[in-house]
Amino acid sequence: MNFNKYLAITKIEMSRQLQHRFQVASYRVGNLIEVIIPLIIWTVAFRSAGVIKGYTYDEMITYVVVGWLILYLTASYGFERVLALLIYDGALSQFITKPISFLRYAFTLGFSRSLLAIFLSLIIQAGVIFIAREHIVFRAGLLDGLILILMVALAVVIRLFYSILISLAAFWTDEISGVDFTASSIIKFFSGAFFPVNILPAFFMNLSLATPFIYTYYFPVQIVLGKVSTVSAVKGLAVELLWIFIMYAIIKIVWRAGLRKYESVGI
Amino acid sequence: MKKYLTIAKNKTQAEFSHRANVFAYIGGNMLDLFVQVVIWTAIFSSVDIVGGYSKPEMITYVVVGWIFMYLSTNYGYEEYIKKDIHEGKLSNYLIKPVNYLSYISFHSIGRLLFAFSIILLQALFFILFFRGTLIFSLNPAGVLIFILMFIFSYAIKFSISVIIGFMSFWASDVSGLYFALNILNRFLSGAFFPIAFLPATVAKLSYFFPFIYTYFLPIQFYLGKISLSGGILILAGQALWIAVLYLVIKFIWKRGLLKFEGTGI
Repeated sequence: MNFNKYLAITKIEMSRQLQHRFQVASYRVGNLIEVIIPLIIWTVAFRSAGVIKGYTYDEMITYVVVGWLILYLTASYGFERVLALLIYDGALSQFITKPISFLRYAFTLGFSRSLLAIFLSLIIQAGVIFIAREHIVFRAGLLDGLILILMVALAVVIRLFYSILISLAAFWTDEISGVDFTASSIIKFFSGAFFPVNILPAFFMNLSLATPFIYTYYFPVQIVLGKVSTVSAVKGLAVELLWIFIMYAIIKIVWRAGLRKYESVGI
Repeated sequence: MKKYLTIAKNKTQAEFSHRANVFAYIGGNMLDLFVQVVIWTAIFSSVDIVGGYSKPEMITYVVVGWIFMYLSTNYGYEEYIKKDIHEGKLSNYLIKPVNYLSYISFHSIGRLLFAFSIILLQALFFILFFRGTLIFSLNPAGVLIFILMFIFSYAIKFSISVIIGFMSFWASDVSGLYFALNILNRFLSGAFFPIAFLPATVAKLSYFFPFIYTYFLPIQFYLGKISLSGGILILAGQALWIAVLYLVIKFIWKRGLLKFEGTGI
C-alpha cells in the first residue's frame, strides 16, 4: 500500500474544506445551540432535585459537555451524502479504472474531510468546557484514560464505516434522505447523545449496549464519570473491536453486491 | 385563482410518487417526540414542578407542541426556492402570466398535504396514547383562536422560509446557514423547552422575534396559561409579523430580481 497517494487525498481534501470555511463554521454555530439546549433543561430540572436517575448535576453537565466533545471527535459530518453522490453521479467509475481502492479512498476522504470541522468544534467546545469547568467531573485513572483514548479512536472508525455502509444504499435506491434522517436519529438515540441511555427501561439500555454506536458517546463518558470498572471498560473495548470487524465484513459484502448492480455507462 | 389551485393539486399528486421517502421520515420525527417525553418523564420522577410546569402540563406542552409544529411546517421549502434560483428555473415563471410568490404559496401547500395527513394520523395515535395525561381546557372560542393561531403560524414559518430561500440570489451554498438558522429558530420558538426556562433577559429578547409566535405562545394559550384576551393579542402579534415579513419578502424579491441574470430569457 502506497501511503503517499492517500496523504495526497488528505491534503487536497483539507484545502477543499478551507474553501468552504464559512459553511463549516455555520454548522458549528448550529451544533453549539444543540449543546446549550440540554444544558438549560438539566440546569432548570436540577434546581429542584439533587439527583435525577442516579446523576448529580455535575455528572449530568459532564455527560453533556464531554459527551459532545467525543461526538465531535468521532462524527463523520454527513459523509454518507458525499459518498452517495459519487455513486449517483457515476464518479465511482474513476476508481474502478484507477489503481486505487475505493473503500480505502472513501475512508481517507472521510477522515480528511472531518479535520477542519473537528478543529473548529474543538475550539468551540473548549470554550463551553471552560465556562462549565467547575462542574466537570473527571474520575478516570491513568489506565482508564488510556482505554478511553483507544475507545474514542476506534469510535471514529465505527462512524466512518457506518457512513460508508449507508452511502452504499445508493447502489439500490435513488433517494436516501428520508432513510438517512431516520437512521441518523436512531443512532444518535442509541449513542446516548440525547440523554443517558440508562434512564430508559432496561430493555432499551441492553439494546443500546448491543449496538456499535454506544461507543461514540455513552460508554466513553461513563469511563470519564468513573461509572464503569476497568474490567468492564476492557470488555467494552473488545466488543467495539468486534463491531469494527463485523462492519468491515458487511461493507465488503455490500460493496461487491453493489458493484454488480452498478452500470457505469461509458467505461 | 383557478390556475393556482391546479398547481396545488398537481403538486399533491406528485408527492405521492415520493411516498416511500415521506414514510421514511416518520421514524425520525416520532423519535423527536419520544426523546422529549423520556427526558421529562425522567426529570419528573424526582421533581413535582419544573420551572412552573407540572408533569401533565409539560407532557402536553411537548405532545401538543409537536403536533402543532409538524402540522405547520413547510419541510424546508427554502430548498425549492434555492433550486429555482440557482438552476435558473425562475426564468420560467418570469415569462409566464403567473406570479412567483403566489405560485410558491400554492405549490408549498400542495407539497405538504400528503405529509400533513400522515402527521394527522400520528397525532391521533399520540393523543390516544397520552390521553390519560394530556390537558384539554379550551372552550369553543378558545379552539377557534387556537386554529387561527395555527394558520398564522404556518404563514409566519412559510414567510421565513421564503426569505431564507431568497438569500440564494446572493449566496451560492447556504446549507450550513440553513442548519444554524433552523436550530436557532426552533430554539427561540420554544420547541426544545418552554421559553420561560431561559434567563430573563434572553427570554425577553425572544419576544422581539417572530419565532415565539409559532410555538411557545400558542401552546401557552392551549395550556390555559394565557387568557382569551391574551390569545387575541397573540393573534394580533402574529398578523403584524405576517405583514412585516410580507413587506420584507417584497423588498428582497425586487432587489433579488435585479441581481438575477436569467441567462437566455
